[in-house]
This record gives sequence, C-alpha cells and structure tokens, in this order.
Amino acid sequence: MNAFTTVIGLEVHVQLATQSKLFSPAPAAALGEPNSRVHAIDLGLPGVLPRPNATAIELAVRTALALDGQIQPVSRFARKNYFYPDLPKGYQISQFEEPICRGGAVPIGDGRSCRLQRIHLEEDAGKLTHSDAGTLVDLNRAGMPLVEIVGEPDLRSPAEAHAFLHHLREILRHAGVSDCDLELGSMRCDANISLMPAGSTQLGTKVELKNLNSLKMVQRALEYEERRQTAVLAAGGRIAAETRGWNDEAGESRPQRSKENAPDYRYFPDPDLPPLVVDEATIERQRQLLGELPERRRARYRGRFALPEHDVVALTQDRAVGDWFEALVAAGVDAKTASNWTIGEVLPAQRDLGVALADFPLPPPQLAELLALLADGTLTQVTARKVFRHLCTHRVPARVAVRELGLARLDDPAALQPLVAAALAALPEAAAAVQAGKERALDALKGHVMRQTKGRADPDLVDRLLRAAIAALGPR
Amino acid sequence: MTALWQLSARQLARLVQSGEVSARELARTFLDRVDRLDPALRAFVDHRGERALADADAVDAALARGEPVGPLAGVPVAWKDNLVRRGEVTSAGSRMLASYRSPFTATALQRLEAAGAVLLGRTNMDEFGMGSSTENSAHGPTRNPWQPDCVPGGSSGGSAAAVAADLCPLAVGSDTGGSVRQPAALCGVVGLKPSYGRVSRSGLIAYASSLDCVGVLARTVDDAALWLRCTAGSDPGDPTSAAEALPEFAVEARPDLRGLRIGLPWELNGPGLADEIEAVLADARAQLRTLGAELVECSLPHVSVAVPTYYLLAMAEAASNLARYDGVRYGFRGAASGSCEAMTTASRSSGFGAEVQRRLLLGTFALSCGYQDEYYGKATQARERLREDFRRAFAGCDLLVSPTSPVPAFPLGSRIDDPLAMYLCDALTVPASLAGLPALSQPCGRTAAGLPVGLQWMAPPRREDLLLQAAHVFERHTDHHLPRALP
Amino acid sequence: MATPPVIDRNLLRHLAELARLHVPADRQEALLQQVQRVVEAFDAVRDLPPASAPAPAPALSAAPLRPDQPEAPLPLAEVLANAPVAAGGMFVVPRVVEG
Repeated sequence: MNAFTTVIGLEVHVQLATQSKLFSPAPAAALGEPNSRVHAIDLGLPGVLPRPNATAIELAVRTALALDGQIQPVSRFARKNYFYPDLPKGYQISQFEEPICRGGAVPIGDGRSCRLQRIHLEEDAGKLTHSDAGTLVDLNRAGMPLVEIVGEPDLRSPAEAHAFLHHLREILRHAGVSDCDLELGSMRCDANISLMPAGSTQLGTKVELKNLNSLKMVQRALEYEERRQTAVLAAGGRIAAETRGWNDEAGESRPQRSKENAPDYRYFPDPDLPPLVVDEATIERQRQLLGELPERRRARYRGRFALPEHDVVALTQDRAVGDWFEALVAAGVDAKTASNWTIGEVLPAQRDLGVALADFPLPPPQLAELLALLADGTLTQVTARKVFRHLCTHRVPARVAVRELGLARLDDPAALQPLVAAALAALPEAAAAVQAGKERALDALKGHVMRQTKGRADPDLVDRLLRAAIAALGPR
Repeated sequence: MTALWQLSARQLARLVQSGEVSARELARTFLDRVDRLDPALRAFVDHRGERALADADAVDAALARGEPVGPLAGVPVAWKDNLVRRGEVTSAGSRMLASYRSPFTATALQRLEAAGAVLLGRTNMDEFGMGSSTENSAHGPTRNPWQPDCVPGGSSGGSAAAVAADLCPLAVGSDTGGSVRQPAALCGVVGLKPSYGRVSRSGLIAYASSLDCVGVLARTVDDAALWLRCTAGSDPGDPTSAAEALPEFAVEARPDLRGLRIGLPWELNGPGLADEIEAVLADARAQLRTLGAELVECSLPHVSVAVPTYYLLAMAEAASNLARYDGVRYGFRGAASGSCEAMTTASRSSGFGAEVQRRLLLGTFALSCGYQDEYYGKATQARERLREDFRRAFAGCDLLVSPTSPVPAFPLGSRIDDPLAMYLCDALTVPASLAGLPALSQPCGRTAAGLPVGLQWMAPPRREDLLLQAAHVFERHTDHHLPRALP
Repeated sequence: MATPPVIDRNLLRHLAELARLHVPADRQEALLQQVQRVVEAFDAVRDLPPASAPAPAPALSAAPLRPDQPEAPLPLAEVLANAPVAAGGMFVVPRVVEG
C-alpha cells in the first residue's frame, strides 16, 4: 500500500462571459487581429481610470452562488504590483484581503465535495509571443474579466482533481458564467501538490504545476508529479518548493521557478476604485438567473421523467439543452419522445447549422406541433424527420410544411394497392421467398413501397397489404 | 483705461458674448503677452499659437451664427502639462513623456472647451507633480513673476506664474498635497482645490490617485467659482468622481462674514511659520474679524503627522501609478542590451528625474513586504484620524483658515538638494488634501521684500459654496489681489 | 518607540530592483543618506499611538458600475502611435527571459 497521502489543491481562473472587458468597454473577444480589441484603459495610457463592468460583477456573484460561497457585501479591488511586458499598468487589478466571496464548495462525486477558500475578481494580462526579433506584445486579452476560484487542499488523488474540474466546469456552464474551455483558455488551472506520510497531518512541501490545458492533462501531470515525489521521498530526498511546467508531449514536468524567494507583490487597495458593494437585490436577481444546478436537475429527470441514465446525462451537460428539453415537455410532448428528439435530432442539427440553441430556427413550441403530427399518425418517423429538416431552413408552421412537401401519411388502402402489386411484380423472387417462409424477404418489398411513396406510406398498412397480396398468390 | 489682459475671465467672456471683443482678439492679446514675457518666465512649455487662434475663430463663428456659447466664451485658458488633450503632446514635465501624444482628452479640458474656453497652451510643472518649486521639470524651472530669482512654487508653478503674469486669466492646475494652493500663495493669485472627486480625474496623469484633484489658478475668487461651475460633476470616466451635483450658489451672496465661525487650528497657525508670514496673517485675521467673522481657536491633533502621512501615501501610490512607464507601449525607451527587464530599468532610470526616482524608491519601501504594515498601513490609519479631527473641528466652526505656505517664495536652487526641506513646504496644505476637503488660497498681503503671502481657507466636504463665498467677501474688502506683477 | 530601520545598500538594491531603477555607484551614498533621513522623518507615523476608540470606517461610497456595452476599440494606428518599437501590429520588446 502507498506510504504517502497525496494532497492537492487547485486554483482555477475562469473567464466570465461578458460583452466588454472588466475595466474597459473594449469588446471582450479573445480572437481577432493583434491589438484590435484594445481601449486606452487596456493600454494603461497616462490619465486613464478603470471603469468596472456591472455584468462581470454580477457573474462573479452568480459564480459564488453556484458554488455555495458567502458573498461579501463589501469587497475591494487591490493592486498586485509587478513588471512584465504583458501587464500594461505594471500592476494587475485583483482582489486580495477583501475578496467578493469567501468559502464555497465544489462536488467531486459520491456526495463528497472540496471546500473553496475564496473566489475573487481580477483582470487578465496580455499575450506574449517570442520571435527572433524579440518578444511581441498583443493586448487583446489584457483586461478580460476573470474569477479566480481557490480550492482548499482537500483533494487526495489526481482523479479527484479531475472530478473537481469536471463538476466545476459543468456547474459554471449551467450557471451561464463562462464556457469554461480549457483548450481555448477560458478556464485555466494551476495545481498545488504535495505528499505526506500516510497517517500524518503535517503537509509536505508543495509544488505548483502550470500549463495544464485540458482535464486529461491535469490528471496526467498530477499522476506524473505524484510518482516523481514518491520516488524522491522514497529515496530519502527532499522536495524543492518550485513551480513546474507540464510538457504534455514529453509527458513530464520541468522546473520553471524556485518558490524559495516569493515575489513581493506589494498588494494595496486600488485608490482608483471605491469599495465594491453588492446589495441583496443583485444577489436575489442572480439567484433567479442561476436556476437549477445540474446535480439537482439530474435527480429530477431520473425521478419525474423516468429517463434512462444515458438521456439524463446527455440532457444535463449544458443548461440550455435541459431547458430546451423541458420546453418541449411543457408544450405537451411526451418526455421520452422529447428526449429522443432533443438528443437525436435537434443537437446534431444545431451543430450542423453552427448556431446557439437559443437561435435554433425551430423553437420548442413549433417542434411540439410537428411531434403532435407524428403522434396523431399524420407523419411517420421518416416523414417527420424530413419535415423537421425542412423546418430548419423554412419558417412555416409544421402543417403547412407537411402540405408543401406532400408528406401526409398514405393510409388509403385503395391508393396503396397498386403500389403493392407493383412491388410484387418488380421483385418476384422476394415474393417467392416470403412464400417459402423467409419472413425477412418481406422487408425488401416494404422498402420498395416506401421508396415509391417517399416514406409516406403507413408501414403497418403496407405490411398488411403485402401479406394479403402474397397470400392471394396462392401456394407455389 | 484698463487693458484687456487685466480683466477677469467673467468680464472677458461678457465682452465676447456681447460682441464688443472677438475671441480672436483675446487670444491674440494673450498670445502676444506670452511671446513677450514668457521667454524670461518659462511658465509655458508650449503654446498652441495658430491652433488657439483657429479655436477662437470657431467661437466667433458660433457667435456670428447666433449659437449659444458657454460662460467662458472665448476666454483663453492654459492648462498644466499633466492633463491630456487628444493629438497633443502631454509630458507631465518628464523626459519619459517628452513626445507622448494622447488619443483622448481629459474631461476637465473637454468641459472647459464645451463652455467656450480657448485652450492656449501647456504650463510647466514639477515632474509628475512631484515637487513644490517647479524646479523638477525636464523643461527647466519656471520663475516667479514677482521676483525672477525665486521659484513660483509647485507643482502647478507654470499655471500660477502664467496667471500672475497675466498671460491668461485662468490656468488649470492639479493639487495632490498643495500643488495648486502653494504656488497660488507664492505667486499672489487665487488657487482653488475642490473636494476630492468634485472634478473628474479622467485624463489627469496620476501622481497619487487618492489625493489628486484638478484645480484652478485665477485672478479672482469669482473666476475660480466660474471655472468650478464649468468643470464640476460626475463623470463615468472616473469612478471616484462624486455623484452629487455642485449646488447652485451665488459667490457674492454674502455682504460680509457675520454669522460665520472661522476656526484657527493652532497647529497650522503658529509652529514653523516664518515671522514675515505670521505678521501678514495677523493682519488678515484682524480683517476677518472686522468683516464680522467670529474667530475661534481649535485643534487638529494629527496634523503633527500629516506631512509624513501624506508623503508615505502619495509615494506608495506613485510607485504603483508610475509602474506603467516601462518603455513597452509608449514613452521613453532607454538603450539596453539584453533582456526586456534591462530595457525597462534603463528606460525608467533615464526617463525619470532624480526626485521622481527618490519617491518611487521610498514608495516601494512603504509598500514592501515587512514594512507595509508599519508605514503604508499606519499612514492609512493616521489619515482616518486626521479626517476625524476635521469632523470634530467643523462641529464647532463653519470654515478653517491658516497661512497657505510656511514660507514665501524662496530662491531658485535653495531647497532642491534637501528633499525634507522641500517636503515641509506642504505642511499647511497636506491636511486638507488627506481629508479630501475643498480648500482655497488667496492673496492676503506681502512680505517686506514684496513677495505675496497666501491665506488658506478650508471647508467641510463638498462645501465649495461656503468656501468661495467667504473668500469672495475677503477679496471684495481688500486689495491684495489687485497689483500686477508685470506690465 | 521602535528605532527606524536602517536603509543599507542591500535594502536599497532590493527596492531599486522592485521599482526597476538603476542606482549608479557614484550616486548610491548620497541617495542612501537622503532616503535614510526621509525614512527617519516618517517614523512619526510609525509611532502613532493606538487609537483610544477605533477610527470610524471611511464613508462608504460604492464603486459606480458601467453597463456591459462594448465600445469601438482604438484603431490599431492609435494603439501603436506612441510605441517605441512595433512590428506586425504588436509592440516589440527585447526577448523576455522566463524568470
């Protein structure tokens, strides 16, 4: 058994989904030509002053609510002073002694959770690229709004760290706070890891890991570090307090900076910004907007809608998906049908169209109309899908589309009889096979009729008519 | 006959509005004086010449079209070299920003232009506002119009000298610890520092954010009030600008000072004053009594630590505010081989003058690990105690008075090598700065050598109305503001 | 009363590094003395006696918040107008050494 206990604490930066930056009205979009989303404030020009963004504050409040933290009615912005060419003012506006939220927790599965120390707001820095000519500075990202979520060292394995991030991401996406994309940098994670002898309560020397750009990387880097530290300690060595960068290709971390000499950031309250006051009304409004968190929603879907686990998971990955599903149910669609169509049709179509679910051309009430035509037998599964695809590009009521496409179900035996006869004539060997007792050969004949009717024929009726016609041919 | 340059801003605006004088004529008049007198004074670092005349023409054209033109119609105004104006150089008296051009305009300047003012040119200052003599400028020192061997005070020394020499009727300044009031006193003009947050700091190059105030130098109290009316008010560009509007008030509302209790904090009215200052102030106090004021003794106990408190806070904030000058995006870049870090160090070491570098080191010290609680932290506490002292004092009186400066204008070079001696020049002005109070300096007499002496008024928070009304009574009943320094 | 700290060469060098300033050797001694004198003068604040009653908290004016509406950014030409060195739409600095 392992002689050491692993102790992990995560610090996660999450980019808030705002339209403009934290302290400037420049558009908050990470993409774009270098320095194309830069305001005088982001450049730190002489004479500029920060202008705090209401939505960023609100999203931080919502983050705190989602993670069950204590929102501080009064908090303060502070300056973290250090020189770096990606930091235009020579200081970062952050929060230090008085963060917007203290405490909180993130579930890590099996009903357990990891405590949070604090959540605070801060601005992002710009981006450097290194070239032969020197280092190039792009300030598009400078001033983007972030919350830093600081976890307590409650995690005991790389798998728990993975679970922490998985749940955190799911909750924050649900809350509409951020898209939490580790690869694109809208969620960034630093991990502190140390080992202590099993049974001890004395924490070991911790190492900070950086450059963890995916959930898998976080887990791999921590597993590597766990092995490395175990080996050092088992050999009687000492762990150096340092920052290590993870190199995923090499599958190893390398030392970046010693932590023996902690930098002196000279934090002090930003004199340009009065205290940040969050009133009860703001908190209440954000509580409303926060809605139901994924864990609770899953329980409801299992219970009230009796959905299979696969559906429950798929519908709760993203709050908008669950909301869409529930809107369909509210419009009178049976839960399982609503789930099947949401997962099987709407989401793939939405991906193909490349639009947000909110902008999907066929909103739930209209889709419900279509599904009513399926339920009452006007449409078959096949024709219903055709109408659905049509409605994705044509804004007309479902009934109109059915008429326009001529897709109403054919359930008139007189109209289908000639087509059945034609099928028998076209595929005599299939008819013979059915006569010989090969039931599966009937499918070929059915397919022929369905093709001729472009899927509109009532499949049960075609089945009955075919069997009757074959029986009428008499024994071979 | 009174020459145009001798008139107040209000009188000049009236002449322009009534069509008796064109804005161009005014601009021309003052530009001619600048050309004639400023080479010896060096109050300006740059004047706008033809561009100012073109702006004046625009005012005249608007008047000709019958459009409304503001209360400063055609009045030439100079501004301190630390307020940015779009497309023009703003250097803050520093080599660091010698060729820096801003893409936006300071709110205070925008509002002045909206009120019809014609911006004449930039005035000299101590680098980034750090100094009390205007000797710490990359553009060289400015001289006192009353005595060219003496300093005009600082850091708004260029603005004070420009108004004292009648190179313009109004000049914008900034006051962090006395930088409008002290040069006003040394140059014999009116200097108004409004309440903290009254006038937007947007576009003011920061020295110490929690203390910086945009202020004005003027010939009369009424002109200072007119300027305040045009520039005050909240601004989305400055989160520390006050939400409430300046109340409507008439500066001449009081016939005298009857009914006003004026406090004399003994800590500001005795210790450390030059004898000649004390003598002039005694006369001023007598005059206040004659005008009907009741003078009462009071105390501000924490004034004893006001100077170190002020310098600790200002230097700490400055060390952070001036970190943006790193040679990366704008400003002076020093020659350095090797790393980016070396480039930034070279840029700052050559771009900043000696006093700025000293203050940055001391400010870094005040915030640094192991010293922050003892210095910056204690200074923050001392500031709150001083605020409380003022609250108590104002419970017993309406206004406070003191001399503005413990000494009159001093010879160029006499204090420049002794930072502490220079810092003590601000002993009487920093208390109101620390408490964010409105304060004003006005001429109240002269020394035997003919150097002006200033009377400082301090009012409760946001009571610029009371401050200006009382100072106006004193001005109307005395003639200390009338003599001109230069013909 | 605590004695003021001595500003020695090491502390001065440390502060200069933090402030990204270079103190030439020939100016060091004079600067040390000036800084020491000022720090001694600052000691009056350090010796501030504890308040008999806690100082009242400063008046609480909340930071005004800006509605989240993006405005047009600065044109690139203005972003780079004052740049000492620029290339490819970016500011150029000597190579940053990861520290």
